[in-house]
Amino acid sequence: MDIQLQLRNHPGVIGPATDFAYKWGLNAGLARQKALHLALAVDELVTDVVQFAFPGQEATFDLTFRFDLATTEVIIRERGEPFDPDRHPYDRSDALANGNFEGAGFEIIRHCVDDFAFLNKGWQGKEFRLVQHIEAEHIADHYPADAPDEVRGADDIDYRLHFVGPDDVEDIAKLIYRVYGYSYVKEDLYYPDRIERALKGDDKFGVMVRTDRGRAVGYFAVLRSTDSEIGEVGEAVVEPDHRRRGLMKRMLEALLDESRSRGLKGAFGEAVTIHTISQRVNQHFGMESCALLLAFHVQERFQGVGKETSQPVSVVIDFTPLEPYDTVTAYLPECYADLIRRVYHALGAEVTRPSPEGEPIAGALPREADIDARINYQFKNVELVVESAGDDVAEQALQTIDDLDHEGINVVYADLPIDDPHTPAMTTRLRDAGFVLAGLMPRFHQERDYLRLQRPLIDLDPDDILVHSDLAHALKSHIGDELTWSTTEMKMS
Amino acid sequence: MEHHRNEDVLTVRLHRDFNLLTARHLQRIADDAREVRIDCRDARLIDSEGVMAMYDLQRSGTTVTLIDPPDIFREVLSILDLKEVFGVEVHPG
Repeated sequence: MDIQLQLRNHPGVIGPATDFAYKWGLNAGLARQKALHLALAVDELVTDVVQFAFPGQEATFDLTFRFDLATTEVIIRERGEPFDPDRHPYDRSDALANGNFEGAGFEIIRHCVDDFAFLNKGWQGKEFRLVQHIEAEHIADHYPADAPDEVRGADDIDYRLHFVGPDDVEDIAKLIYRVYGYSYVKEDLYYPDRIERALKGDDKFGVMVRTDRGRAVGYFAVLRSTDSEIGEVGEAVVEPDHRRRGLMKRMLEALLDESRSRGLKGAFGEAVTIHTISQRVNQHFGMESCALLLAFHVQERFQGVGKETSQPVSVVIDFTPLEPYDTVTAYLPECYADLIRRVYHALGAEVTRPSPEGEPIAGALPREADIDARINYQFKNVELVVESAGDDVAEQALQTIDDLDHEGINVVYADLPIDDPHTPAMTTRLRDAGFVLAGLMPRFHQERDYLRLQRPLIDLDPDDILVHSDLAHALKSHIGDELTWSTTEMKMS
Repeated sequence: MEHHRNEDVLTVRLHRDFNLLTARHLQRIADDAREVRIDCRDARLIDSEGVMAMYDLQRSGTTVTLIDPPDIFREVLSILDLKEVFGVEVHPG
């Protein structure tokens, strides 16, 4: 959950904002020292905005506090005078000789936080982003990976399935560590503290399978989305000796039942494409492939798992609606309409063409788009969620790419609300800026459907992207055409 | 911020962050002091405005001494490569 503060450009806000940042950081899981460093960085930025962003005028600016299990992020947005911190480096000798401390605050900020990003948002002003990683104890520090397994015959075990609670967190971490070593993509699962915080915060719920002697041998969870009533089905693990006994199926059925009873509108999986096992499982349980997200994960996390790959790993988004679709009014760009209609059809949705009265008047696109940039520093990707349409959508996207150049971002995604009449026009602008199709993101933000476009910032070998379902193949083929990929698979098909 | 004067030596005791408001206050009261002693034992942090205020005082001929600064004070001065510029007094306990 984001916390938003709106502050006046008055020196009296500096202390309270710093206090809040410190206490919020502690509550989010930062150690005291890291929370203090974050608070100091907030102090510096708020001071800078108060003093310099709006010379001679009263104004307000916004702070957003956002965290997940591994990361805290403070975003400061203001629409004051243009400014680029990179153009004002601190110079010690100038400070000592002339008392010119310009850039000193940003020098301190860069030392205090794990990541600092500056986004120039054109007419929408500027964004400063402070990121602090939450440290926790890794399960490997307490538990050897080669702990002896429970050796028993295949047929004499009774399994017990239960929903997980705080007492299970260490067993979950141990299980992941035993089965995957260091290669599991969701790093949070190696940290019992993070698992416990996620459970307590209702960020996720999970089921566990234990043997009749109490040994944890299976785990599966639903991770709730932060801005929509849907959940990601993931973190699936079953010990090798206990596979092919229907445990995965029992756990998934329990999770989907629980998801429905908690009012979730859909469940999705992020299936990696270095192998097709997860995609096959998802399809087996009735999920439909909706999007192919290129370069979603950094490749270091996948050493030794599936096909060896030297590139960031793409994922297929598989989705199942837990509340059935009815009729969907979708403003589809002509170039993607057939494929997106196929996806909708697979999801059981009937797509109606918008009435001509609903069509926007030519040139009626508002001047400024309102875009929420969600930077995933760990996975090196950025999600630009268009909250209101605007003519400058591509300009803002390109500016973001430029501003984040030093972060080593692999891909930028852009989500356009499919029920917005301006989506076809915005798609045209983004395609002109090098974006291509990713697919449909059903109910992904505020329960609304989004068309996702993407622009990979690195070269990818399509032959290293393995997909399974017909829809996933169709998405890959369409994306390949747009990116002018030439692949063995495509030549053969 | 508490403060008291002993002739031309001003001693201040920080009870909060050494930030813009504290810096402005200090500049107002330190006017003609020969030495400013800043007791930091109850302070939480110092920012670049605090450092600038100390530097401005020192540059105008006032000796600035930090008393029992918390680690983050030293860290900030080290980041700005100004560790040797100000006097520091540490009292055990």
